[in-house]
Amino acid sequence: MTADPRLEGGPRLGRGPAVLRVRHRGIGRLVGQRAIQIPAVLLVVSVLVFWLIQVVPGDPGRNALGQYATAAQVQEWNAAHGLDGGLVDRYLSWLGGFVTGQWGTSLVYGEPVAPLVLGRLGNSVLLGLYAFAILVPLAIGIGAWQARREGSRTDRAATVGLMSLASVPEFVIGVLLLIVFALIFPVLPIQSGDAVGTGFFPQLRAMTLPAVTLALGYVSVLARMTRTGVVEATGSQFYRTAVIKGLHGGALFRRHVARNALIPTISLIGVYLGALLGGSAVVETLFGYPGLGELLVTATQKKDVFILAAGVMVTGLISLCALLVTDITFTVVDPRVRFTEGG
Amino acid sequence: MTGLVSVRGLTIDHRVDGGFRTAVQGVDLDIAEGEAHGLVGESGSGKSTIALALTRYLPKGARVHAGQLRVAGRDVLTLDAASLRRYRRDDVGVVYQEPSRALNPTASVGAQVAEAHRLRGLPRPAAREATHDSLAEVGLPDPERLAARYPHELSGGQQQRVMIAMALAARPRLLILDEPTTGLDSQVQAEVLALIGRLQQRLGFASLLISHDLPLVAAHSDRVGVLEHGRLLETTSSARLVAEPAHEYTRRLVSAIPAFDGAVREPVDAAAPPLLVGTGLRKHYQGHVALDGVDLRIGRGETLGIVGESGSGKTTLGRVMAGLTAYDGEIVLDAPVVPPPVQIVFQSPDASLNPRRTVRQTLRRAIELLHGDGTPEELVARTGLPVDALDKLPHQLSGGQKQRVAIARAFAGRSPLIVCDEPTSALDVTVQATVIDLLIDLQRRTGVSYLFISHDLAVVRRISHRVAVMQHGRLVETAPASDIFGAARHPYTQSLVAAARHGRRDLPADAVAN
Amino acid sequence: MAADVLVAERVDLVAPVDAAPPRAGGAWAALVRRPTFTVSAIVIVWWVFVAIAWRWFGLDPFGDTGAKLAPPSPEHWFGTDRIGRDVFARVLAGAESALLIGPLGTLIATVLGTALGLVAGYRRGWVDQLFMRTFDVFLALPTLIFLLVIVGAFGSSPLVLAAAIGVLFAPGIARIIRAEVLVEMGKDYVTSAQVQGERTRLILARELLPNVWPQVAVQAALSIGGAVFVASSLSFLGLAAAPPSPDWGLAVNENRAYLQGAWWTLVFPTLAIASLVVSVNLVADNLKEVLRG
Repeated sequence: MTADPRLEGGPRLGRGPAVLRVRHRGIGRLVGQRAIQIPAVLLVVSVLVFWLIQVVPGDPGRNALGQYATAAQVQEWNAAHGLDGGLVDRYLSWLGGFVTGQWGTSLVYGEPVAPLVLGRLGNSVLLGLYAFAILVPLAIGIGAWQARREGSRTDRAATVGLMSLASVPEFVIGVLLLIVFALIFPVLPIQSGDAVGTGFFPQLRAMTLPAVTLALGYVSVLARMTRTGVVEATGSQFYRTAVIKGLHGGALFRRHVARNALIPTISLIGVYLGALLGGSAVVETLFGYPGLGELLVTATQKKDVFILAAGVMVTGLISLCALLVTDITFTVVDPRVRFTEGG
Repeated sequence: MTGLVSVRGLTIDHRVDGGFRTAVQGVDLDIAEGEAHGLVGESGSGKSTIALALTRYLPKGARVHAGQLRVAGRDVLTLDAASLRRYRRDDVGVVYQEPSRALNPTASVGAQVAEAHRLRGLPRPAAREATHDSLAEVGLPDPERLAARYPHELSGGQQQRVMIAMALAARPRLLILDEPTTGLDSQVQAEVLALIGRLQQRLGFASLLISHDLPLVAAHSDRVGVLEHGRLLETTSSARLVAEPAHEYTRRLVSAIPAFDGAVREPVDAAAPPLLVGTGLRKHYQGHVALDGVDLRIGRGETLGIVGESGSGKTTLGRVMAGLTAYDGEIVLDAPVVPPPVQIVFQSPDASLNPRRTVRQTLRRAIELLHGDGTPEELVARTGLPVDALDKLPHQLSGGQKQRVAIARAFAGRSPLIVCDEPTSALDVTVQATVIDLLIDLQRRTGVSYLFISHDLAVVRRISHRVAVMQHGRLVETAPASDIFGAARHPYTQSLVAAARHGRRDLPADAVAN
Repeated sequence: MAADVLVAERVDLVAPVDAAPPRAGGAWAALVRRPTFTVSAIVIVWWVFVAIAWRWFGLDPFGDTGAKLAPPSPEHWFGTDRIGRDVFARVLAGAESALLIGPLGTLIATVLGTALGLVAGYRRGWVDQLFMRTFDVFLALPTLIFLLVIVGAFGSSPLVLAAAIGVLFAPGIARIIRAEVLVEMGKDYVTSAQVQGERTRLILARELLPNVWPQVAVQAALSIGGAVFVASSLSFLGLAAAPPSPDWGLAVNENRAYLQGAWWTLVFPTLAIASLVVSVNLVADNLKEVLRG
């Protein structure tokens, strides 16, 4: 805001002149907090990941070569792949490599991991954004539509429908969609993978079923939150004030309902964005889409430690960054957060 | 009858699951132009429902009928949508009970007031000007800067002034005030009501003041109506209401008000060894000092009243006494440490009882923990509860009964000191008096001491032997009750007492039963 | 919004001061009256029964009946798959696999999550902060990815899966229970117990837990649905059950290619999964409505 003298945050009780309180470093403070939190969390995650991927399954060389290989062969294999040495050394060298972009060479594909993972990530991001673009308007629309009819039979039916949708795993949604759109009305292709790189519209068409599947997987909770938000906003005392003031229609909705109803959904939207961008293993596998999730499944099955480690770290990083973006959006949108202590 | 407001036979039923509940029954209301009219009723009397009905804003499924409901020449019940909007915009303004909830938290205060001006037809720049004028008119300083603030940045009194500015923006002919000062500090209350009085003089609107606080309504209205369970019992001039209440219920209301003139308890023997001595008590939360070096003494069988505005530290003091909060300083209590020598009676009877325990279970556990030697039956009898209350759950009891259970619980052992933290603030006025009587009676019989914390000076005056006044975490003055309320020395005490008196028309001595 | 015409959408003028707390006996009666609950409960009971008793029906989910990829017929109600196995038998046998991991994982998650939530909510201070930060981490990271890694590390026996699900769901439950505890802590009856000198252990068990158990029950019910969801996703990915198990998720994976040629091999397992998870979630939701009063 302006250069007001900064005093304590929060409303003051009791009488007195309007001493104005401003905390105008709200956003910077929050970013600073997260800038420390995110690497700290990632560090913890990295230890966990390293332990789970390289330590628990046993010796990587032994796993790769099988039980009949000799100890010497295992040792040689490990050395060749940079997997020999003490645990701490291996962890540190892996961590160092991760930070500098040297993510090793894939055991399965034989290629450098970094371009492989990042390429797949790009595909997942595309699919995720497409799904996001469907999800958000759909969910908010359904939620607001329900709120208008609160308590009616259509509202209750929609709630049951949404809840059923939410409980079903994505691959089931995907199969059902496939049955409708690829079998009964054969409009869309079954496998999306082949269409990658063949041009904008064919690719879009091929990505539609997976994107819709993803969107439907997330729509329920968001719609419900929107509905609750709108219902609470229209039942609130400030809404009453606005109506009795004489306000109606678009202005009433925009200024007094929309913002207040949607603020609670921001965190959820942020979390969902993070999840969508990171790629969904299930949906990508079902539709044969070459994304990061599908890659990770293969890596798990084939015990490719390098891809797994890099892929999990990347996914984690994306989720945490989505959290950061959410926090920033909060401070911009909700004045109460801006002007009070802490984050 | 062609007054500004003319209502005949107003009946409103709320839809409750399964059927209907009558909230308002056959109410007649007349308000002349420029008149200050009041409506008094306890909780559940239907007063807020009437206010909303005048603006035709009622819950879904509510049924309204009236022989007549005319305001400013319009038949409110038959207006179409557009006319209803015009009516709400131009003829009526409303000020609500909790301004922090009645203002949009995500819009600036200026934007919300400007909205009212824009609805009148003013273009943006003119509306902004008008907003600054409105804010200045209600006594808010620095209107340009304040307009950019958000509601949560303002104090309760400031928020209420904004509401008033917003309600008066279109110069309505009727201003409805629904419990406008409940929850505000007494001095702020007085200021807000004085402001409304001044504006009414200047602008000439009629007002409908609704509250449970009879002296408050009587002091600020020309005529007052009394509501009980949705029925209007009587309507007379405010002076006549207080001096010669016609209806039995009104008489009860009037006599239940703790008067500022009436017997005050004499202090106990100061020479006797005290029960508790506190020295240099300090407590601070991050960056905020709650207690700033408090010294006090409580004698045996004595009630020490603690008064102060919110933020003065009185609640913190109570918690410190009860051993619930760490503190700096020293407290010497002349009693064994086990069982806990200090008990508390809280403000909200709803929250202070475990909703899943029957009264008997709660009391039995208390007797065990406090090494009492009575039975739940005896406790219940001592606090004036019927025996069948023992096997009830809290939600089956009334507010007053729940509070009696809380008091019984505090008396389950032989704790020499009981902290009472606003124990009557959440109760209806008629119930408050009986609870205070119970506390005084128990004190006479058991010799227990009370630390009685309240913002309601009249109640404190009734029960305390000595009174301590707190401000900003410090004790400003400590003296016998008669001194504090008669000839206080510290200017802050004087202003507190004056504001409390000013907010209510002092009841003439013969109107008070006590 | 058509709110301004005659009545408001909703104005809480008649909110009760404190409603009766939900009690077990009354809850049951209220539940049975709801159609979504009764239908879902019947479905669940059916699958539980099948999971326990399918062997007694004389079905053979593993044997080759000679007819490969045969469409549904009176001999084979759901048709046969590519190895000639009877799909109906396989669907019924698959229930066992679906219902094995869910409840076990949920039990672990509920006990762990509730205990942590109670302690975190009551203690506040640095213990609470530590827990919450840790949980924030867990909740921010994608569940399935972590399960992938855990399965890769520890294998995919039902015990491992149940434990993994238990550990991964616990923070979410702990968070919600903690929030409930904080609400209750704000109420003075807890403070009263403290003032009377009640011990912490007893306050948690006797004051807080009875007021918090409805939320625990709801979370447990929701978690079962979530656990089945996750377990079937894992077997879809080929990381849990292994052939020739009749596990439904695995069946969907194996028969994906037959969408156009032999839809029955894909559709029936899919519908089986859907029916189970939807029912569990509807029961959980009805439970939530009834217990929240």
